[in-house]
Amino acid sequence: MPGTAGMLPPVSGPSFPAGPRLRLTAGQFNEIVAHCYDGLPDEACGLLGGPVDAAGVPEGTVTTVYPCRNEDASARTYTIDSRDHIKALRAAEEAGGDLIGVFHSHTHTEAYPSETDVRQAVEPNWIYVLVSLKHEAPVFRAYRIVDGTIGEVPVEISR
Amino acid sequence: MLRPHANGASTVTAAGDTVGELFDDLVRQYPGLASHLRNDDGTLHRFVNVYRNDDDIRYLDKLDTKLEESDVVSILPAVAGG
Repeated sequence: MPGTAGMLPPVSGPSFPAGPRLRLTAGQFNEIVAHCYDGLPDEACGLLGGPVDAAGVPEGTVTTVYPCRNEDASARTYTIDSRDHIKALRAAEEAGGDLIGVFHSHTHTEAYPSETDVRQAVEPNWIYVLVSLKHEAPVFRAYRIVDGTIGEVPVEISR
Repeated sequence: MLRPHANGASTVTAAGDTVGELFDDLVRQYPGLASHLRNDDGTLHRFVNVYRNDDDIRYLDKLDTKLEESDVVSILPAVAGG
């Protein structure tokens, strides 16, 4: 449907737990999208580092983007390379924060979590970024996935 | 994902000469961890990453990877989707 790219409504109801918005710079946004295009024809993926509160809940600000290898080397699935995962975690901890989310591309579907994404989501506090490369221009969306329920996270891009 | 099965702890102490033996000890202490660490056939579960001092044991000797007194073993849920 032309004109509705990426505008699928989230399925979260009013009971979906409140969370932060995702805040990143234009440079970080570009880094994520570029890594997704670099990965074609496969899905690309990476991790996001940033500050967390005393309970370990992300504040929503991205401090660092960690582009990772897709262990699956697949156009349909992704697994963050385990060595890239621990490196990103240690770097994020060293910076005084933690990993706060993950991004991956959908090469031929919308920027919305797939059934597999929902089933395999293990971190209810994380922000799950989807980049769809299906259309002429990339579509960038963020979500939280809590107990099988998807809630959209507003994205704020600054200079 | 794993902490609720270990009474919420982020770091625990367990003993073993290999990662497999360490898992045996961990599961004795926290039985709820068993199905997250190993498949029914005893092999390492696909959806966890296990590291000895930040080196993935899949690239070492898997569950036979040897451990020394001071080694730190980290277990992370694999980050994956479709």
